[in-house]
Amino acid sequence: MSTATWRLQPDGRAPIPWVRRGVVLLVALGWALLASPLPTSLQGAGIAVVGTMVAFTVGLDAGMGWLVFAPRAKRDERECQLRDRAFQYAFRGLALGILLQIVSHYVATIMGGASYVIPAPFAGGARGLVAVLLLLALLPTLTAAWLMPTRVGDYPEIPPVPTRRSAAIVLAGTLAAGGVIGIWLLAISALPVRTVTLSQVPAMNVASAGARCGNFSVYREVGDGLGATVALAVDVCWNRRGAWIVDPGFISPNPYAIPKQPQPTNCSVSADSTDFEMVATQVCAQQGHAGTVRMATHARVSPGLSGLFERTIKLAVVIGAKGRVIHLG
Amino acid sequence: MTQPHGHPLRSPRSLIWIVTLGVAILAIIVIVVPGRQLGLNWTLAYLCFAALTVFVLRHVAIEPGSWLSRRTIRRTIVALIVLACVALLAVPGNLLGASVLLVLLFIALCDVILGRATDRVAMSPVVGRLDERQHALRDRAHRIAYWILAGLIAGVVIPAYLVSGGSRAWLASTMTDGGLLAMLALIACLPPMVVAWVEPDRLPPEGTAGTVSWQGRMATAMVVISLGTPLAFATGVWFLPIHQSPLVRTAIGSAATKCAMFTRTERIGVWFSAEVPLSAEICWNGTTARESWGLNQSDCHLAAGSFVSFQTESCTRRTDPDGTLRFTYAVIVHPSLLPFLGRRMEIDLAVGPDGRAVPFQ
Repeated sequence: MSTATWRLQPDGRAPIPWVRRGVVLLVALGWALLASPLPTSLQGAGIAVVGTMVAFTVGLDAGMGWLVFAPRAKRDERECQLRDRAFQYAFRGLALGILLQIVSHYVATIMGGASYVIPAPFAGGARGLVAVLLLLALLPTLTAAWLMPTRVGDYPEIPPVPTRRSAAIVLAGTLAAGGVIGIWLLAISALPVRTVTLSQVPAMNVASAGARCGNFSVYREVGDGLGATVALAVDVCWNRRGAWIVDPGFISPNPYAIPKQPQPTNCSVSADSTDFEMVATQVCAQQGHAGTVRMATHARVSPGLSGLFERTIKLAVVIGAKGRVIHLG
Repeated sequence: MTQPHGHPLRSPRSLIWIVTLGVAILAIIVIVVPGRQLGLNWTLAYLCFAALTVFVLRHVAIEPGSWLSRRTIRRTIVALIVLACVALLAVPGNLLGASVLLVLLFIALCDVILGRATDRVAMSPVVGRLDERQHALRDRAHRIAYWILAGLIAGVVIPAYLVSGGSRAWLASTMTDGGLLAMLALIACLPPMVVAWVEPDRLPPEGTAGTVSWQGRMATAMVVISLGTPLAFATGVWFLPIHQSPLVRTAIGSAATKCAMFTRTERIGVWFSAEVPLSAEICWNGTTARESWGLNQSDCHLAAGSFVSFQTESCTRRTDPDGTLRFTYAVIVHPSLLPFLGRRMEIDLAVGPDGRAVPFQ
């Protein structure tokens, strides 16, 4: 048997159990943050949480001499037993984790007053999916690290961790986290932005006397759903006098208040963030000539690296005086 | 494998009495309980029989050489669980309810049988009655189950989430419908399924004939019946003849109004059954027949049944040049346990300008 840092010693003992278990608890905390419906947004820090979890777990596996993922031929009988036992606990932990995720989302949605609940793990956003994938990828290592035999009170006999091996552990963890973050950065910066447009006439939940109304929305997704999603949803009504946006914040919903001359552009700026990226948005609404309305969003989506990997997303909805869709996208 | 576990009754006669009592209760349920059209009596009878099977299984040892100790049989039951999970995936969201409960019951029954056939090695507590070999088998089964689950998620969920908006919408709707239940059922059943799949035949010791007790034979027969019955009834939707009731024409009002109500029903299947009704009021004036009510698009969603789902195939109404009114309503019926089997049911009506029903062409 080799002398890997945390591999089983000939007497079945592995050193520094409290470090291993502490790391396991830290990773579990990170998973709970990702899997929980609260906070509703991770303020763009999601990828940092994922990277930290991967780094710690790969470091653990490296410290255990790649116990979980190494070929069976390279392990002795005790290590194979430990690995299989770790998978047994991991399977039960996986079931428990998915159940917890579902229940917590149901509870949070019902407490939030919503009547319709989408089951959490895969049908929600990227955060739920990432939480399940991390559970799948990391649990065997975490359970193996937790289960590795310990002998309380024997710490003075344990040989110190060799520096070179510690460096290898840190290097493995850093490389793994770097790899995950690198792939993610590549995805959000190189993958084409996906656009979804929806229009519905007559509108759902919007009505105005003597007028027809419609719902118009555009969604742009960065990184195939692994980054941010910028959305522009607008309800527009129109009659023979022209079209107007049903949103008091921008233009009066009262059709008789539409001025003869075009209004100056009315804009609002907001800084928002999703779980994995930060989004700075400027939304402008404008009453055009001949009763046309235009609403546009200009958003900068960035992973928060001082402008690096930043993408600009522009969305616009232009509706003609008689409800004709002039531009949607 | 070690000596199988069981909870033998004090006397085999007790078992006979309990089984006889159970069968008598079943017979009473099938004959007495109302709601035959909804399949309620069949469902109750099946629930009782399934419970009786589980009871008998728990009290009869699975002897080496018996039917359930054979790997082929265990693998067949594994395949049935997979089939039921696929059925759960295929059940539309608006039909979640009784159909799903039946499929889940079927999966649970298969799981209990597998557990009994493998001495419940996979689901035994972490510390307990297992010997060293069984411990190793349980842990190995969990490792294999883990990779199977990881493969399913990596192979289905990730591509569905990433490929397109449409595939993500499919994932969301599937997980809202039966997909989540299928996944939870798989998580619950995978380790026993793996043990049942990898364990070799349990052969009787060399030199012994390997005789199986009558209790063992009875337990085997009950397992076959409890698993085969729903499958047989579900298949019935596919091959049983369609019963069409005669067209009933009831005149409405006075002779001057020239209107009548036409009703007809088509039925298929027992327990897994479907019924397509047609009920319409038609008026005529000697040159043409016209629909008063009952022959519209909204009337093409009235098919009902138990443990089946429907897919409307066609719903058409037309008036021929000679004034004959024709209406066709066709659905594809899928049994919930075997949703990939479909049977077309079509009900039609043709009424001439003189108010008489004419053969449909």
